[in-house]
Amino acid sequence: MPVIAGQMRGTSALLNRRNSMVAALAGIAAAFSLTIAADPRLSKEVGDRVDQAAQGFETVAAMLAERSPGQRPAGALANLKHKRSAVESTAAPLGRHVIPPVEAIMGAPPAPLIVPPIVAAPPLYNVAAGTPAPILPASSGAGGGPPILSDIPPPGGGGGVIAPPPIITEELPPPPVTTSAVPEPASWAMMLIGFATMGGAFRRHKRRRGQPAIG
Amino acid sequence: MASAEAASTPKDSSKDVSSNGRIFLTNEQLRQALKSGTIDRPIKSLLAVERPLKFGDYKWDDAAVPDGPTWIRIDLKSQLISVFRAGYEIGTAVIVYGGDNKETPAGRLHILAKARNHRSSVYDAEMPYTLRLTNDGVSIHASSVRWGAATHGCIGVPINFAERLFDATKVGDEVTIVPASTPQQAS
Repeated sequence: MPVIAGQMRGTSALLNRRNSMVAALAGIAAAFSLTIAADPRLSKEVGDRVDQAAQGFETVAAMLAERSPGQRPAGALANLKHKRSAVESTAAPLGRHVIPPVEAIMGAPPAPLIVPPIVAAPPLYNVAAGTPAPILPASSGAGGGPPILSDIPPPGGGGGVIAPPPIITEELPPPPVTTSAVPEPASWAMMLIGFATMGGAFRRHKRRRGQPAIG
Repeated sequence: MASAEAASTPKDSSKDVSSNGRIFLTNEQLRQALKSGTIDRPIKSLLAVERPLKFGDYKWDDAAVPDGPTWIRIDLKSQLISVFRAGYEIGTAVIVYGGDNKETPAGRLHILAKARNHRSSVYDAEMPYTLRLTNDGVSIHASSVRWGAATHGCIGVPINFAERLFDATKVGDEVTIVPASTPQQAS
């Protein structure tokens, strides 16, 4: 019956389209998982967040990771010190200070290295106004109020303000932005798997559309 | 300023950021940190660091921190150093450490000696505020801390941080160095 055949054709077409979409999404999800597994920093961040979600609180490791500049990149590193060409070792104040010979690490960032002189910066401000109060957790004390140390100015505008010491940046130009010229093998694999999955899904969909309807 | 800091702090009862820039740990956080191996002894608080530290950055706050045992935690993977006194973190900074073929040793070490103005005879380089950790020369000292740099095994810290660290520590204080990859930090 033409109506039923049409309905069945439409239903099977819908099913086929849904199946191909599901297959394509699965391929993309697999590729995404490969990306996370390939990049250690991504997996570390995701792991920390999953860990935090699983624990229900922020872990100490996560708090330390938040302040981290990240892992040191692999590859050529700049040597901070170079061995003397003619060494007459003299007795150092701490006794023998001998480090076995190490070959200089070749390679440097693209930009010329600038080694700023080590200059003492002004003293860090962390002086408390008045007598420092003992450190207490915020939840201690009757009523669970904030700890005694506070950077809120006292009422009336008098007295000093205790401010948390700022983060001091001493030096340094921003690091040169370098990008890898060649994608990692994992990136290639991820891309190819994704394309293959999507291509297979579309091919299956096409093949099913070409079959005659059963009516 | 405290209210602005409080407004920017995410609502999380487990991250109790007090207005003096410290994060006091809950029992659950401490238990989890000890169990996972993130720390090997109890601590009471961490410094509240508002943003990821850059090379050359440090933070020091020992205001009103009581006297007590001082120990240092160095995390090579995160490139961070943390200094604790009586369980309170009093300083943190970004470090540089040993490169390939001259890795910084991991494990539990002690400060063997201190020298305010040490000069390496091998490398003809100034190493201010040296804290010697091993007999073959691995130390914590002031250095030019920058991205992409590596040492021959020593831990380099910004000079102002090194000065404070030098004054806050003594011979015999413990230094725990966590390697760049450890199965303990997987949890």
